[in-house]
Amino acid sequence: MAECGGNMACGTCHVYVQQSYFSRIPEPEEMEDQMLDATASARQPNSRLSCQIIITAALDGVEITCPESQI
Amino acid sequence: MAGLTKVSAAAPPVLDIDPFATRYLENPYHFHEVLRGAGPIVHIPKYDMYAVGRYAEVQSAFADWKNFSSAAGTGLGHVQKGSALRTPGPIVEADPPEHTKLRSTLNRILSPAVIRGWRDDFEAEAERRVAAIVQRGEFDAVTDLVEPFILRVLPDAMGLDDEGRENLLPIGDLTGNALGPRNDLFIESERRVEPLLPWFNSKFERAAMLPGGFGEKIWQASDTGDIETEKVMPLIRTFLRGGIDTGVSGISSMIWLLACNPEQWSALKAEPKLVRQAFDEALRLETPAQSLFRTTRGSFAFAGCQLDDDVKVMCCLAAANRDPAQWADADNYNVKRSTIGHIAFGTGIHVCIGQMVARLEGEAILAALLRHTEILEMNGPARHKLSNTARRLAALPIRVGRKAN
Ligand code: HEM
Ligand code: FES
Repeated sequence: MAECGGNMACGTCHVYVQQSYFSRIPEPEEMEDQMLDATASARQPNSRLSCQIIITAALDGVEITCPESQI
Repeated sequence: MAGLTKVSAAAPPVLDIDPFATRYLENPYHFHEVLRGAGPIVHIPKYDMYAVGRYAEVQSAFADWKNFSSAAGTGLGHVQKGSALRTPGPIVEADPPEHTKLRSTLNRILSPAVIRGWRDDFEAEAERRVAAIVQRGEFDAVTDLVEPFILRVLPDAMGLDDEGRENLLPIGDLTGNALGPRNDLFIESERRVEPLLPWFNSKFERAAMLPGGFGEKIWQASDTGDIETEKVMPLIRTFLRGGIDTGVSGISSMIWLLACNPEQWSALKAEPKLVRQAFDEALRLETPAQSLFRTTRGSFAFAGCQLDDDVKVMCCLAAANRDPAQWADADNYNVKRSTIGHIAFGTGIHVCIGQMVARLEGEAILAALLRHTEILEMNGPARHKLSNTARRLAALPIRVGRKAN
């Protein structure tokens, strides 16, 4: 949903990233880490805020799954 | 023009108007157009300030806290010098690094998980109030529904007792006026609040916080050293000043827009899952905090113009949210629009920390209205309260009921 428009203030853009691609995304900064602890669906090892993922060639073909609930 | 600015950045064009003149406050859309039309950034001589109203520039100014500082106050008055001298607000009027640590602590105290815990209470309260009021058939949505609702749920979540809560409304009004110049609006709302100050100040005390509220959690964060003790009371004041009137404004405007646009009401009836979008779209069009200020730090080039150091910049969020360069059919209320990127909650490091609370409030009221009434119509003219920086309905006569067969 991405309600806050990428400001790391809502957690509604929570997604699960395909394991094999996960390490290709730079580590989350502290604010994102904090927000991931408070998302509507439980945080998984492959959880990220999609608003913080910069799509690069390295991510070509990645599968992203939306959790059950984002609010 | 463009040729000149390439050689060496020129000073911003002059816009010789008073944005706080009654005629602009009464017709903010006209002001927005004038501001956007005058240039990417302008100089307004009357207040020796810059002003921005196009989406691209408002967004970049808010994103750039180094050049556009909050530490000299987010109103027109410069809090570090002259007649407006005062202690800046602990979170809103702080730059990094002071801002960063406090924000991180508050993010924990007001995390989406905490806010989800309030959902049942907010929904039950909205259900109770809406069910009761639709029985009447006619009512004022601002004074009979939205104000009492917000004064119930937000102070409850904070852990404030019941006594005197209605005082928070004139205090909210002062907040909107005090961000502007010291004109009659400002002085008059200050005069109304003056006798309420002893009550208001007593509400920040630790002893005033009921257990379980986020007010108590802010106090507890001072025990662990996460928040400096002297910042606690100003912080609680910030929440009470910034979190009430904005919410009343946003929800009232949403009801107004739906009552004026029956096809949008029908669209929602058909697709009730659009409630949150309907609220955000109302915030976009009727941005509660119309303008906020920043102060330039250093002399630098911005939008092709050379800016001077230590000058106030009026950032008109409301004009940006209606900028036709950013939004198709910018002036139309459309519950199906993607509102992502609207800046009614600000953007950047100070982006509203209460935005998920506000959305929960808006969603709870609108979902209850959708359940309880088939029609939602105007029952007389709406009236706005004049304010230096707030967009706020004062009266909203509404009629509800079943469709005539
Ligand atoms: C529709 C309702 C609301 C609107 C339109 C709104 C708008 C805003 C805006 C525009 C800002 C940015 C200020 C700046 O950049 O200078 C802000 C910040 C803030 N808001 Fe809200 N707000 C709303 C509701 C709330 C609520 C319900 C709360 C409290 C529960 C709240 C607490 C705050 C706080 C503490 C900040 C300062 C954050 C910081 O400086 O890091 N707001 N709000
Ligand atoms: S869009 Fe709000 S946290 Fe990503």
